[in-house]
Amino acid sequence: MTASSMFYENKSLDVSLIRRSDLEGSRRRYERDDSILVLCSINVLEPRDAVAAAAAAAVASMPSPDLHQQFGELLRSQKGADITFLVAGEPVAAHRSVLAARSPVFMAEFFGNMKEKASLCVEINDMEVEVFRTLLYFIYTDTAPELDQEGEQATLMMAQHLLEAADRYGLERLKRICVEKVYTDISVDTVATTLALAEQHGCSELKSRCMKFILATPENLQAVAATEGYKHLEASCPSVLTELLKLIMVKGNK
Amino acid sequence: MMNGQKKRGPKIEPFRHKVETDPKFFDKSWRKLHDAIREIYNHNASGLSFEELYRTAYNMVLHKFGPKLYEKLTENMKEHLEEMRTCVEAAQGGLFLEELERKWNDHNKALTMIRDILMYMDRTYIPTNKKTPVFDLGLELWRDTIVRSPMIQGRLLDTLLELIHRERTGEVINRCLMRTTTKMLMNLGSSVYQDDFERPFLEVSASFYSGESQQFIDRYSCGDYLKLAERRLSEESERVSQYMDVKTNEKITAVVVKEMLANHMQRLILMENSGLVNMLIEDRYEDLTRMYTLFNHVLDGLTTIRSVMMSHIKDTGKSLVTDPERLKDPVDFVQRLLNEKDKYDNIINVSFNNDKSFLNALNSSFEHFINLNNRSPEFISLFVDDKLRKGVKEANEEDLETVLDKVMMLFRYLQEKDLFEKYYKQHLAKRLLSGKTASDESERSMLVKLKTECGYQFTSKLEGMFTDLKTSQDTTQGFYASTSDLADYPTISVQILTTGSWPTQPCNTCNLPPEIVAVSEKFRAYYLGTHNGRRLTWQTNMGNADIKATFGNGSKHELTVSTYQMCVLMLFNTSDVLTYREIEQSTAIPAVDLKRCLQSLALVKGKQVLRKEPMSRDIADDDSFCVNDKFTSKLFKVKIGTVLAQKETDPEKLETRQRVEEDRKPQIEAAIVRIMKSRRVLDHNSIMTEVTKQLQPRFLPNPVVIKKRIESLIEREFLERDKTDRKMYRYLA
Repeated sequence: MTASSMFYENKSLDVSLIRRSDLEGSRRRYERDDSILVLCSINVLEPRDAVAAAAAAAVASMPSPDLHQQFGELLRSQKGADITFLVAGEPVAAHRSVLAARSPVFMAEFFGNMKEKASLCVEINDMEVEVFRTLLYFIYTDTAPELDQEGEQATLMMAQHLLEAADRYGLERLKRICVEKVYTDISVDTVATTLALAEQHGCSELKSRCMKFILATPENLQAVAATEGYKHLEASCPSVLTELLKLIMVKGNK
Repeated sequence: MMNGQKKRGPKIEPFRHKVETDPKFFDKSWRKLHDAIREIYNHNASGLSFEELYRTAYNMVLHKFGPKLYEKLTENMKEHLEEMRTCVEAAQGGLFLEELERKWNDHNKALTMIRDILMYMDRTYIPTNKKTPVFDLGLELWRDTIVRSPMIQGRLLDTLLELIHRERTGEVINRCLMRTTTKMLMNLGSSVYQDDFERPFLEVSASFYSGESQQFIDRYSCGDYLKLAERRLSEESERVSQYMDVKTNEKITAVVVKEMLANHMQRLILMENSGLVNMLIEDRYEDLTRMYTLFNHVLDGLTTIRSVMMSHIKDTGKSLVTDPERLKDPVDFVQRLLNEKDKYDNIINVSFNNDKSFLNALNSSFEHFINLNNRSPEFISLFVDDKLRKGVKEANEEDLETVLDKVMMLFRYLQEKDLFEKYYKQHLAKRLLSGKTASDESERSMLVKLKTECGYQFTSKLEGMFTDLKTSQDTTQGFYASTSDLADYPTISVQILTTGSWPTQPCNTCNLPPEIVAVSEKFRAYYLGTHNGRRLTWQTNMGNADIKATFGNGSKHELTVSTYQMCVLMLFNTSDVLTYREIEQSTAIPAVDLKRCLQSLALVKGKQVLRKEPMSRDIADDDSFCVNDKFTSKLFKVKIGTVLAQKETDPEKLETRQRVEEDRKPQIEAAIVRIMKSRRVLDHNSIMTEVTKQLQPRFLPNPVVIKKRIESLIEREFLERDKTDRKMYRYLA
């Protein structure tokens, strides 16, 4: 690549010219050992990529979403709480608007025309307080960290309780999370209760998974039949057992 | 739990699904709900606990009592609604709708709360079993128990229709109540609204407007009736927007349009003394706009208006062009046509929304009647002639350009454009030669317009005329510059006309006065010196002269006369009295022209330069003429009139037409040859169609003439008939 420019003495600000004759002249000021040293000073302007990189860095330093944390904190601190639940005798404070925003049942309850519209306290029956607290935590933060452990009995039990609670209060996403948890953690000890749960709360996929599990091997069936949960099932949900029997017969005929 | 990595709170019990063992469980639960619903309907909901009621219903569904709950709910709501129905039925007169509205609001509020309580069932049992959701169930029950109950259904409709009728006849009604009532019907479903209200409403409206139209069509003028229809239409629109479903608007408009307008369309438009024709004649813009807007809604409405307008224009146009009175003044004739065109342009612009189809109708009407008079081309040319002579000294403010543009519109309607061209040439020649054109610019502008319309061939000869005059000026200047011994001769200014460009008028040269002869011969010599091989012929029927005259009474005047008049007058320099025969012999001027010339010199009041004996108008051979020594005039310069371009006398008219017909023959032949050359073989009818189409921009060829031309071309072996089919022609290369 070639470029050419015309330089004029005393006219350009970029360039300083010196006559050759001066260089070679009698004074020989610039000459030393028959050579001339030229010192260059170069200014490099920032390339475009650097600008983009700076912008990216700015974006990267953007704070990450923290809505759920702040609402979680609101729940914990109970600041501005305007309703108290009595769950098995224990008080649990919360905020009407937040609850109503997340659950259609709470919406109807707190912004309808009945008693709860103006009351300070609501009694919750048929639910354990830990379950209720977990429910509220999900309502505020959209997360259920209690369900995050693998394979723990307690976690599975919580998932079962929570499934019921979510169904009762119309929290579809939580229900689904619970269903997944229960689905993956099926074991001989728990399948009977899970089956009853699925049957009662209309989780057809979960139900068929349970049935499949029970009938997977004769050992499974025997083991399950021995559990408490199974006995409970016998007593309260005979229709499920009839279904199970039918499946056995179908399987037998293959 | 061991390994307490996580801090666990109080333990939870293992999960056990709920089991209900109490046989009275359902009845107890239902009782709770039943009582709660009663409180709700009694406006006592604020004491109820939602949490408890919701949980009750939830448990019922959980324990598989969904179907029973649903059944009980339905029964229960029905009961409450039946109570409400009794109240509504009992309401008297005007309170009926109010009571209905009140109960409806109550039911809606109750239904919302019931739905909320039963939300779990709505979400689980109902969708799974494809049952109607609670809220919709409530609406259906309302519809069936109340709105469609025998006692109420008819009364409701009657009440609504009665109120609407009263409003139509001028009363003020409670529109709010109407709105809430119709909204209720809409909420119950669009079929309820349509079946229980809209359809009967439209039927009743149809008979109302049918009656109204019958009543008023006999009594009102068209304009007033249309005002009424317009008012009714906007009233109905407003009514719908105030208290009906917006979709009803279109339907009621259709009803009113049908009953008031469509059913009486012919009668209205053709109404004597007030219908469309009358409105057009009187320029009643407002009425016309209204008619257009209203009949736009009617099928074929605008078509009808358009065709009535068209036949009216054709009729008035026809009487205009065939009225013998009008034909006496061509300029006025054309002005009237322009006025008529302006009138309808305005009407279509203001009232008919510049509707293209109407503009087309206007154009075709004009095209139709303008050509009913075969003098139209001539008259239009005379009109332009008049305008280009007088120029911008118009009575009205319209400038010349605009007028010429409008004239071009009329020109486009002419079928015989070639006839126009002939006349235009004649008139232009007269204008140019007599120096009577007011503005060179306007002449050129007109030429440009004609060129744009008709192409180069139309105007090339006309442009030649302008060039000739310019050249002549230069030549005359050159003549006077070339020699200096012309001082003793009269000054002449010569216009040299190229024969092909100018309308030919055969002329025998008359005997010019000797002074004139001398100088004109010098000019001829000069001209032929520079233009070899040309022939010059003096057109003595044109041209003019300025003569200095001294009369016996001492008055001196300068007379502007025609060439012929000059020849006659100069004779009196040598003779005092001359008879007609003598003048004729001396001047060799053709008799017709000579008589007119003498008449203009002797018989025009105020311009009697000569005296005629006897004073009769007709000129006999022995009549004698002498200079009028008593001649006086206020002006020094006296113009002795030259006959202006008049509309032609009948023989002249015939001659022009014959010439045009002659000119058409070669054009037809050229068209035939062009067509046959490209098609090679063609049948008779197709040739006719093609030829007519090709020549349409210039004139409408006569089929008989086309046939004759074909025969002639066959004779001259340009074409031949097909041996087998006499109707087919073949091109011979």
